[in-house]
Amino acid sequence: QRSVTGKVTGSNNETLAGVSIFEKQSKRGTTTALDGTYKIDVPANAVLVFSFVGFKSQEVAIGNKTNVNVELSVDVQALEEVVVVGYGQVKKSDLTASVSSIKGEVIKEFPVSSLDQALQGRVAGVQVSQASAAPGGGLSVRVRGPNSILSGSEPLYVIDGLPIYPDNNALGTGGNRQPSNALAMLNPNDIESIEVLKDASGTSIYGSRGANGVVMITTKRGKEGEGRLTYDASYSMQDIARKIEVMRADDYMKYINKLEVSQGGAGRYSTAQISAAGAGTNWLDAVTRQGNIQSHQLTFAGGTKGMRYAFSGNILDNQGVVISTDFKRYGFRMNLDNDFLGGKATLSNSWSYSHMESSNVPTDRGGPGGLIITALGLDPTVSIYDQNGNYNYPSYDGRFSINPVAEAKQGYDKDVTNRIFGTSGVTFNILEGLKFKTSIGVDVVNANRKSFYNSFTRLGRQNGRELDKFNRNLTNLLNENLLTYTKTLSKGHNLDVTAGYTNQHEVNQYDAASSWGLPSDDVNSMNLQNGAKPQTPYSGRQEWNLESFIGRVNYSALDKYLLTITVRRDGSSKFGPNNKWATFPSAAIGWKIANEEFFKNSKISEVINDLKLRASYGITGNSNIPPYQSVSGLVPFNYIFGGQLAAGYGANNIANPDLKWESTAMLNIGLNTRLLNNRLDLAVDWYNTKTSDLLLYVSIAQSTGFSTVLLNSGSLTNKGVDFEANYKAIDKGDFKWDIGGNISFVRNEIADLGKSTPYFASSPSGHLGIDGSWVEAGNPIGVWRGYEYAGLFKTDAEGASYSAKAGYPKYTDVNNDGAYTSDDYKIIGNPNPKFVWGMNTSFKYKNFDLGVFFRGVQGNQIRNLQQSEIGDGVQKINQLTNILTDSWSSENQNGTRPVIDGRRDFISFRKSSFFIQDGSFIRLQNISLGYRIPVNNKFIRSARVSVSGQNLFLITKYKGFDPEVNNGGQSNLNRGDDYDAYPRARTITFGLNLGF
Amino acid sequence: CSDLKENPDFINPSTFYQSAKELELGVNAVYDDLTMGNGDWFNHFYNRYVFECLVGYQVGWEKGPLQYNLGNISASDDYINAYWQQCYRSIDRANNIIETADKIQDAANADKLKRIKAEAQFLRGFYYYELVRYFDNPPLKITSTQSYNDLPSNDGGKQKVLEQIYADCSAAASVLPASYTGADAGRATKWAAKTLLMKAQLWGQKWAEAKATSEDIINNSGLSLYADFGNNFDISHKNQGERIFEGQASAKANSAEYTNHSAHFNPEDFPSDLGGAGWSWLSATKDFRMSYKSNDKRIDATFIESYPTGRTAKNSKGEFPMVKWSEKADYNLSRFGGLVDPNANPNNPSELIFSKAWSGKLVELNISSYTNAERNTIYLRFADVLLGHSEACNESGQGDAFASINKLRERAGLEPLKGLSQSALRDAIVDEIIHEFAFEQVGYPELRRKSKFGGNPDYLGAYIKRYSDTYKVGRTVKAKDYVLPIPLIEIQGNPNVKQNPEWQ
Repeated sequence: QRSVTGKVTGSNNETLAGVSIFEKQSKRGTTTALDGTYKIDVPANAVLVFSFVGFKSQEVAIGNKTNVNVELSVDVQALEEVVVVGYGQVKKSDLTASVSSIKGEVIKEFPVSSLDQALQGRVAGVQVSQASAAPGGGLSVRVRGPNSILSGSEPLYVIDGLPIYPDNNALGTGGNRQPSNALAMLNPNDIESIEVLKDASGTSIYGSRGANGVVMITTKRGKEGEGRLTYDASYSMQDIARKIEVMRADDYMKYINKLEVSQGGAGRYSTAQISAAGAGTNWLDAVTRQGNIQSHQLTFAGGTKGMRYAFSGNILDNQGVVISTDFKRYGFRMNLDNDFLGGKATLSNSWSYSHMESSNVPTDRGGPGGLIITALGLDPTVSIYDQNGNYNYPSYDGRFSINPVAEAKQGYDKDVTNRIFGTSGVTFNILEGLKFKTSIGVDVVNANRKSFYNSFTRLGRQNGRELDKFNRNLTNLLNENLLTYTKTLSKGHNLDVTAGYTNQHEVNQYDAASSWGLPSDDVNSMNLQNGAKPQTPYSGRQEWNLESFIGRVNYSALDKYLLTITVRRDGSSKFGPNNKWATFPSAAIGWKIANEEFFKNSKISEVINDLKLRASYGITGNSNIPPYQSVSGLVPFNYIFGGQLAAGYGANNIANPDLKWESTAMLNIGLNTRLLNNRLDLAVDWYNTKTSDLLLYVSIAQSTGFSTVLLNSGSLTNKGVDFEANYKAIDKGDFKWDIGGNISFVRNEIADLGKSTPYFASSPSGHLGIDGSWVEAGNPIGVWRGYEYAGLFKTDAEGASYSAKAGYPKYTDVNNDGAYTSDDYKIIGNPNPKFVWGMNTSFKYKNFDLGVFFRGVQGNQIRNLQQSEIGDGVQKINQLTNILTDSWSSENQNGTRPVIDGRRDFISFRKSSFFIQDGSFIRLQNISLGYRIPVNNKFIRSARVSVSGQNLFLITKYKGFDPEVNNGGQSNLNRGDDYDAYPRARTITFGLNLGF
Repeated sequence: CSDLKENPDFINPSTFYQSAKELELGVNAVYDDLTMGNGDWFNHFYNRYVFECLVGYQVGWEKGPLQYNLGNISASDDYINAYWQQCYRSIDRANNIIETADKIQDAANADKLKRIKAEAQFLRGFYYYELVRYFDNPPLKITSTQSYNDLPSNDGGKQKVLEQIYADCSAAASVLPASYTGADAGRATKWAAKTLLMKAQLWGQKWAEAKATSEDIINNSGLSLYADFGNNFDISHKNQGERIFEGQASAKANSAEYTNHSAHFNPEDFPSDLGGAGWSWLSATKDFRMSYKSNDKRIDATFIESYPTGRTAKNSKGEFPMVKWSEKADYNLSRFGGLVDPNANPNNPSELIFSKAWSGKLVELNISSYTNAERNTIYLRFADVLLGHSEACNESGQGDAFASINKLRERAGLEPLKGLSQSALRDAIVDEIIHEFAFEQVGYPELRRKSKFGGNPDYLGAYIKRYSDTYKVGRTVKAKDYVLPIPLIEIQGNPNVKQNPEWQ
């Protein structure tokens, strides 16, 4: 017997506390102290085994040494071992479902205000599009394509077990703009990992909410050990990445003269006036500025035996590139785990509170008066202020007087949102392998908006000032009860069973009031009762219940054969009395080929280190529709009698007691493999999805008195391939080089519409007089239909029957009747990409790290509605800079744009393919350089500084601010329309991380 | 499971109607589509003014009005869809009220219950008339819709619909009061029902019946013409005298109850500082304005003769200068054609002229915003009865065909008609309808009612040709101009409905 001492370290020379050490024969052991040192008494010639979670175990023969220092190396396989899935976790190697994971560090690479932004380009099969580039602006995420036409198609987010559906509208506060991001309450810095469940095997445990994929979010929890304080900060500067150039004042005057002459008048401006005008006012510059983002976060985490904690507080403050737009978040999170009953039970708490404030201006809308479109199109000959410093009000298109600077600075539109969400649960370890967990989850949202339009704004002048208030209160309560049982049946045969019952109830109430005719321009002094003309207030309540039974069996045999069977039975209040309940089953098998003897013995195992084949099939549902759709009701249709308001009530819809779930059947076949000495990791998944019983507002014969009824009608398919690869190109001591990439292809097609006739989705802009997406079987979702642009008429005679002249746009006359009517419409564009991809690479050399992240979208189209106004050559609004040079005229017969002519019909032009543009792009999403400062200080544990750039360059043919636009918000229809979009920023970020 | 039952935040229709009190709330909603029903921007009357542009004399320089001016219509037209939807949703509401009235036990209010049912019958007749006058063969549905499979047929064609209108109007006329007071002003009266009946009889060419109905109204209603033609459209004579039935609007009563007519018909260059709308772009042609005799007293109320413009510089007093209508001003169909020259001297009245024919019947220039509109929409007035009477007499060869039309001409300050042949008087009556009712959006249906494609007379063809020739629009008259197509959605979604022959 003698003593051996030593120190255990990790690969970065950091000391490891709590490493277990035992003597192989006697099994007697100890653990390392906080400084990594240990002392153990051993017999002669003992062998010591060192093991620690996340590291490869090491055996050391002691011989006659008395001091043994050990360096443990990281066990890559072990670290990636566990993957979070619905209601549980599985070893990655035992996974039968198609799941992609993102680690928390990746999300921290550059500042994002919400986690869904961080998914962009990171995961195969996931497309993230921005509904508004405004600070805190809404996003829309599609996992493996849109599986519905009308129902909400965002994935379900499960945050530490609490399912949240991110409907921006249902959580927003209305107002004259796109709603803010419904997931902005979650601080991305708190995230430990994200798992995206993509196939039915992964999602069917979420039953009626699983069809759009599930994003599992796990926040950081404390680990046993001394408390550690971390401070993360960043400061970013933002500028508009790409500006749209419109004409200077002198060119604008020449353009207006051409218009006036074309209408039979004389030119409006004299040559002298034109040469004196110069550049005039650049209204876009006048309403934009340099923006910035500040982010600060303090995290304190640690634990003792039986108690683990993590606290974090964060502030995010984003001043947008458009004046008067900003977003602030103050967040606080507490994750606390306590063991009790002698370790037989654990109480887990994950709670978060956030307070968000935003200031907004009208952008990303279809109607007139939006700040960006107004700034682009407004008369540049007028200055912002007159000689007395008062606002000038130039006329937009001769239609209304407006000053976008006054709109932004004097208009007031602020949101305040408070949100508390989280779960508390107790897990009892009843017997070995048998656990029972019961939990409650709560999501409480209180959001309000105050808008005020004083007499300097357009609405304020029209309505004698206007004050609007909106309040929303949402309470979502969840109770879950879960029984899990794990058992090894016999050697190599493992069973894992989960069964549960859950119940969720949501009430979402809102009220809004508005008052006109107010006496003061000071927003702070005004209340609703100050208005001489109070408007009819409105309110509503959206309430639903979801009751569910869940079950899952995982069985693995001989570490080669895997089987997962999942079922969920959901009952939802939202559906018709005849169809409240539905069952969503799935099954999956996995075959670890690499563990087969024949494989191990063959030469191929020298090249292919690991190989697993997966197949799954299952059915999931979609219940993201508003409540009360299966019943008919009476709603107000008021009228006037005798000069007084008279209440009236009429039916809102036709009842449909058979209303039921959309169901999505998905077949997924996948392969995971590792090659080249475990350095290349590949995952390929092929899937085929069919959604039937689509919930459609079927357009019905209007002689029924109704134009639509919500029916289960039709089906659509998504077929695709997801591909992910990670390659450790170099891993040599000080130098590491990793490359990762993903690419996904999806083809969407509406297979049939059932009882519905083909139809145009509601117009994104009555102001523009254009149609929404065209919905017809045989087409992908979201295609545009209109006139096919076919060049310009060369002569008046050629255009005569079309009421057109030389230089007017020509369209394909489909029915050859010599006139352009809607009978000549064709499919003219498709907003769905052929593929989306992301690629990142990182280099680490000693204390330096460099990361580069590209992503792109290929083969999609955008309808540039903004150009259909500022590039039509007809309206009296400012136009693109090339309008004078590129427009056809008798002197410029090779002109590529139609003749500048005030008599020309610009609505049919707007409905033509002329404005459908290629939206493909390659973006340098992020490039960052970091340096870990060597510290030798009692207080500071670690320090890192970094500098990074986001969206530094973009390759695209698209002519708008940015090809990533989506006026349609989260809808599957009217996607890819560009009008009045908030300009996207280019960002430079400086970061600092300190560990204490 | 009981907690999966929904408790919606709206009223349950199966338990709501207990007495006449609730039923009245139901019938009120049947009126709603007469103005901005459901807040529709493309509301009932708006769609009618888009249809009117098909004739050509009323013009707009973009969207629907322009396409109708060019004769470019299809069965999937947005305005036709909206109009069809509004008519049938109101018909379904009326069907519901008529059925529910028969089920309610409310002895204490038996008369009110009967009146409400009669109002619903009148309104059902009204909306069917609105359909027949544009579409000829709308499907007929007189029971309320319980399921989306409740699909009516148009097998009976125009005749069956007209007979339903006769029946509904007759039933309503026997119950409805001659007039209302106070808070009920604006509801359908006995005389509204009879006027509608007469109009339907004219459509059905039941000349003797139409003559009898019009004489009943002329002799027994006590209605007479206002001395001032303009009283028909102003705010101070709402629901009075000559005005028989109108869509009610009052932004003062409630800001949602305005109409968007002013928004569309205000002069384009009326300054937005004074309440210019930004959408104003509908007018009539200079040629149409010129077709009025210069001494016609209806001109003042029919057109805007002068208004302040924001198109020129302000005048020496710093005000927007007033522009005056003048035949000397240039005119073309484009947006700014016919407006004052922007370089006109703001202090020289002789340069401050315009030639567009802006509607005086629909606009309100003194309300600071189009959303403050107070004017009602006129649907039936005594002039309908008088012109109907002359037409019925002329077509049937019975009675004095000149007396009634001459009452209107007398008020207009025009010489009386006499000694005209039947066909010459027919021409004169059509001409009178167009000028008496300009901007009331009846021209297209009235012209097509009296016309046949390639036939004689062909008033509609003549109007279209004149418009196209005068302004070199290059439009040729075609059979499809003579009736609107039944919406494609109806044809595709309802196997019981056949498209109009001109559109097959």
